[in-house]
Amino acid sequence: MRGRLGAAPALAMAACVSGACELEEITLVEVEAVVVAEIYVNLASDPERNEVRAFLHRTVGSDTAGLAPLSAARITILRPDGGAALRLAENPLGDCVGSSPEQEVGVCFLADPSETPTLRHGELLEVQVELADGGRLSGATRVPARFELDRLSGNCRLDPNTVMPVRWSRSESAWAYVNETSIRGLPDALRPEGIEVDEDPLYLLGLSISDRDTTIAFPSEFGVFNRFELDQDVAVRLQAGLPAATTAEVTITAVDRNFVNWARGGTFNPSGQVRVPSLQGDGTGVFAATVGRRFVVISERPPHPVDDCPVPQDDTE
Amino acid sequence: MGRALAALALPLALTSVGAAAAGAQAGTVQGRVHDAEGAAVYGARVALLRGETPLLASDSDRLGSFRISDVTPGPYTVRVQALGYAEHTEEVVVGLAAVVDLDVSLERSALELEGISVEAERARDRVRFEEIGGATVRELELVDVRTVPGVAEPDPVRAIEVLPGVVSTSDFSAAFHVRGGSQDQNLVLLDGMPVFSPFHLGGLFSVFNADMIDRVELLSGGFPAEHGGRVSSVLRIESDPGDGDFAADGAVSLLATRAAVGGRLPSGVSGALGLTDVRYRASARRSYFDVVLKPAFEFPYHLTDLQSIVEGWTARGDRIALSAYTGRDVFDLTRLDAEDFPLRVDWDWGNDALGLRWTRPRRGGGSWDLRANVSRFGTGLVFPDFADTQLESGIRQVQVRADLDMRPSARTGAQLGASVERLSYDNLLTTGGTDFGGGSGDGWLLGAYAQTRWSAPAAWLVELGLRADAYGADPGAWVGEVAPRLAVKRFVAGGDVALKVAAGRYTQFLHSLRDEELPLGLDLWVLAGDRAPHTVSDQLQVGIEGYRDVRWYWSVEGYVRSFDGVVTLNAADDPNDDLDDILAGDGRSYGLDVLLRRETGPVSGWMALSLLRADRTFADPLSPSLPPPEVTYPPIFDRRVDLDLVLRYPAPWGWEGGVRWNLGSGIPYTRALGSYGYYQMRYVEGGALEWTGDDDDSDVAGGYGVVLADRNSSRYPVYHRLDLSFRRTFEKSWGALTPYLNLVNVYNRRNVLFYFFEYDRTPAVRSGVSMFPVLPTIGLEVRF
Repeated sequence: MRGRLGAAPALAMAACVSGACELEEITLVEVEAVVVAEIYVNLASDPERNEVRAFLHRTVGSDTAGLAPLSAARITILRPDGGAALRLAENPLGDCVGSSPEQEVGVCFLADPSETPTLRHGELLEVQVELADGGRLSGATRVPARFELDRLSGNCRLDPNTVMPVRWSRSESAWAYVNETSIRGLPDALRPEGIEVDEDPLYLLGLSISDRDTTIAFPSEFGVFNRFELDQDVAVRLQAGLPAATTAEVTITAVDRNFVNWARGGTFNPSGQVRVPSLQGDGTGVFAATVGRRFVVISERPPHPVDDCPVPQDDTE
Repeated sequence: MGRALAALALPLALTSVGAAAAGAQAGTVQGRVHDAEGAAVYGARVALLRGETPLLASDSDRLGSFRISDVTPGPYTVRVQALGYAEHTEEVVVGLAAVVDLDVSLERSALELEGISVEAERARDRVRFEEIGGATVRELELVDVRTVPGVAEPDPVRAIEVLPGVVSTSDFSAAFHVRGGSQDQNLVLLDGMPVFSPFHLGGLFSVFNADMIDRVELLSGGFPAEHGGRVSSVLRIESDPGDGDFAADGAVSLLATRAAVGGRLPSGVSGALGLTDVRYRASARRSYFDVVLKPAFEFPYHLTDLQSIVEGWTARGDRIALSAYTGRDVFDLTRLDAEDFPLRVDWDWGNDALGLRWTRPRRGGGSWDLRANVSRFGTGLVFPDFADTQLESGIRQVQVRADLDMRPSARTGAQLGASVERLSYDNLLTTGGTDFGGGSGDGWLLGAYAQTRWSAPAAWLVELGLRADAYGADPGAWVGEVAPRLAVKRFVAGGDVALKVAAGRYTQFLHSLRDEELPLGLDLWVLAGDRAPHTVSDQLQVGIEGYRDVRWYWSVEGYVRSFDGVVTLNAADDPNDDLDDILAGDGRSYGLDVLLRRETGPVSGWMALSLLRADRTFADPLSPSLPPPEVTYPPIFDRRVDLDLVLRYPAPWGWEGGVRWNLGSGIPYTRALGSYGYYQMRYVEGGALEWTGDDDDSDVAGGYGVVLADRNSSRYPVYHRLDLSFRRTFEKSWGALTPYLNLVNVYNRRNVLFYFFEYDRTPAVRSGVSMFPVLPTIGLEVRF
C-alpha cells in the first residue's frame, strides 16, 4: 500500500493495529484518460528572456491506443487587450521538464523567443489548447504587475553566517511571491561542522503570501516546505545564515491566482493531491503568469571583488 | 428590538389565558424532598396511593422539587422513596382545586430499596413524555454509558452514537452529527458550561470522565427557546456531586488511569460558608503510555483531565454549584531521538471551563437561576528550532445568564431568561516570514427568551416560545434574529400515546472550520461577522410516541431542516482579500427517527433506526470558472440508514452483559478517476517543471495529483459492527472491584475508512484501510 495520507489520518492509521486495517486490493479495469496541460508565462527583468512553456501530459496508466498524440495539439496564447497571438511549437521534453516519473510521458511546447519580448506586465492573456481529437481547453490570466528588488541585482557578497532581509516593490494583483534558492557548496562548507549535506545544489522554497508581503529573510525563511524532508541540522544551521564558500541563486517570482491555486491544492482526498485548475474543457490544468527577478549571493569574507549585499547593520552578527 | 419585546410579551399573555382557560377541579400535590442536611434529594419517587395501589407518581428534580397534578380530590397516602434513604409516608387530603405543599425530609438508610433507581429513571422518562411537548430528549444514565460497549473505557459522547438521529462517520472519531447537522452545530454543555471541542486525541475519545457523570441528555430536535447558540442539538452532561458520603473510585483502562474522590465538607466549614451542606466530587485522569514506556523510549503523547463539582445547599433550599474542567492533550516530539524524528515539535490542545450557578427554588415549583461561566479551547504548535513558525488557534466565551422558571398553576408554566455572552477567537499560522492563514475577532451575543407551557392532562400540551438574539461582531455589524418555537402535543389512548408537532427557528453565530472528511482533526473556530455568516435553521418535526404497558416505549419522528449560512474553507481564496477565506452556503436535511425501548425486566435496551438525507450547497472552489458555479453534494455524514440495537442482559456467572450492533449504509466519498504526475514550476537553475508533491515512499521523488468525480458521488460499502461488553462487580469488605471486558467489532468486519485509488501502479488498483479491526480491551474499576 502506498501512503497517501496527511498527518491526521496517518495518526488514525497509527491507532490501527499494524497491517490489520489494510483492505484487499481490487484491480481497476477502467482508467480515465484525461489531458493535463500546464502552461506558464514568465516575464523576466530582461524581456528577451521572457518565456512561455507548456507541458501536456495525461493521467497515468491511460490506454493511449487510439488516442491522438498530444504532440499534434495546437496551443495559442491570445491577447484580448491587443497584440499578436503567440503560437507555441513542440520542443524537446527537457526544455520543459527537469524530472518526471518513469512512466510519465508528455510533450513540451515553447513560444518562439523572438515573440515573447512583446509580453507586457498587467496584460490579460487567454490560452486555447486544441487537441488533435477535437478536444479543447481554454483559460485566462492577467500577468502580475512589474516589481523590482530593493538594491539587489546580479551578484552580491554576503558575510558568512548573516541573515539578509530581501525586499522588493509590490507587484499589483499578484497572489503570492514564490521565493526559491539553490545553494551550492554546502556539503564541503558544512563538513567541518560535522553536518552532512546530501544534495548539491540544495533547493529551498519560501513563500510570501499576498501582494503586500514583500520581504523575506535569506536564507532563514527559505525552506519552510522542506523542513519535514530536510536534515534538521542543515535546516537549523541555515537559520544563522550561509556558511563561507557557498553560492546561492535566489529567485523572487510574483505569481498569479492560477499559479497559487494549482500549487496549493484543494480539498482533502486520500487518493492524492487535489489541485484547483484554471483550464476548462476537455481536460484539466493550469495557465499561469508570473514575473520573476533573480540575483546571486556569494558567501565570502571581504575583501571580494563583488559588491556587498544590502544588509542593515542590525541584521549582521 | 421593539418588535422583539412585543413578541416576547405574547407568550406571557398566552400563559395567563391558558391559566384562565384551565377550569381545573383537580388538585395538586407538590413540594420538595431533601435530606437531613437540607440538600435536595434528586430522583426521589413520589407516589400517591389509595391503600397499597399507586395512582399517580412523579420524581423530584435536581432541586428536590416535585409536582403531581390532576389529582382527584380525596385522601391519599404519599410515599416517597429514594435510593439510600428510608421510605417516607404521610397522609394528605386533596381538596377541590387545592394545592397541597409538602416538605419531605428523608432519613438516610443503609437498606437499599431494590429497583428504585430503575424506577426513578423510568419515572423520569414518563414525566418527560407527559410534560415536554417539543423537544426530543433522549437520556442515558451512567449505567447505559458503562454498558454500551466501546473502546478502552466508558465514554458518554461515544455512547450517544446509539441514539436515534445521531450519526458518526468513523470509528476513529467521537464527533457526532444530529439530524443532518454538522458537528459544530451541537451545543455541548457540561453542567451548563459550553465545551467547545470535547475530544481527546483529535476526536478518538471525549474529554468527559464517566466517573463524574450523573446523566447525559441529548436534545436532538425541537429544543426550547432557553437554548441558543447552536442549531442542531444540545448535549447536556450533568456531573454527579455524589451523596455526600466519602467515596473514592479508581480505574485503569487501556487509555488511561483515573481516580475520583467525593465527600462532604465538615459541617463547621459548611456553616462558615453559610451553607447547611457542601458536597464535592473531583476526578483526575491521565494516560500512562509515556510513563510506562519511558525506560524503553519516549512516547510522545499524553492526555490529562481534571473535573470537579462542588454543590452547596442553604437552609432554604438554595443550591450553589461550582463546576470546573480542564484538560490537555500534549504531543511532544521535542524529546525524541533526533535520528528517529528530527523535526522537533511540541503540540498541545485542550479545553478549560469554569461555571458558578446559584439556583433558588420557588414555592410551588420553579426556580430562579443565575449562572456565570467561562470556557475556552485552544491549541498551539511550537517548533523550538524555528522561531519564525507559529500555529495557534483559540476561542473563548464568557457568559452570564439568568433564568426564571414559573409555574403559575398546575397546568401552566413559563420561563423567562436573558444572557450576555462575550466571545473572541484568534487563529494564526505563520512561518517563513509570511502568514499562511488566520484571523481574529470578537463578538457580543445578547439573548432573551420566553417560553410558556399549557397542558390539559392526558389531552393537550402546548408550548410556545420565542427567542431573540442580538449579535454584534468585530469585524462585522450588529444583527438581530427572532426565533419563534411552537410545539403541540395531543395525547390519545388514555394518555399513553401522543401525537406531536414542533416547529422553530434556531440560530448560531460561530463555526468550526474543521474538515469533517478527515476522521481526526481539531476544531478551528471562527465567529460570524464579516468573514462568515451566521446560521439560521428552520426546523419542523412531526411524530408519535407512546407507552405499551410499563415496559415498552416507542417513538416515530420525522423532521425537515434547512440550514442557511453553513460554511466551509475556501480552497481558492484570494490572499489579497482578508475576508474571502470562508465560503458561505446552505444545506437541507430530512429524515425519520424510530426508537423502540424496553425499559424494565432482566433484558432491557433499545432499537434505534435513523433515516436521513442531507445535502450542502456551496460555490465550487475547485471549479476553474469565474465566478464558480454552485455544487450540491451529500456531506460525509449523509448516512441514509443507521440502525442501532443495544441490549443489557444478565450474562452467566453474575456478569452483566452489553451488546451493541450497528448497521449503517455507506457514507459518501469523492472517487479519484485518474491521477497524474504532480509537477511544480521551479525558477532557479534555469527554470523547469519538477516532479514533486508529497509521497510517503522515501524512494519516490514526487507524488500524484488526482482527477476527481463529482463531489461525494460515490459511497463506501455498508458499515456494520457488533460490540460486546461484560462487567462484574465483586463486593469486598473495603469496597468493590469491577473488571470489564469490551470486544469491539467481534466478527472483524472490514468497515472502510478510506479507499485509495492508485493509478500509478500497474495494473491500477483500489486499496484502502479499514476502521477498527476486532479489538478487545480490558479495564478495572475500584471503589472504596
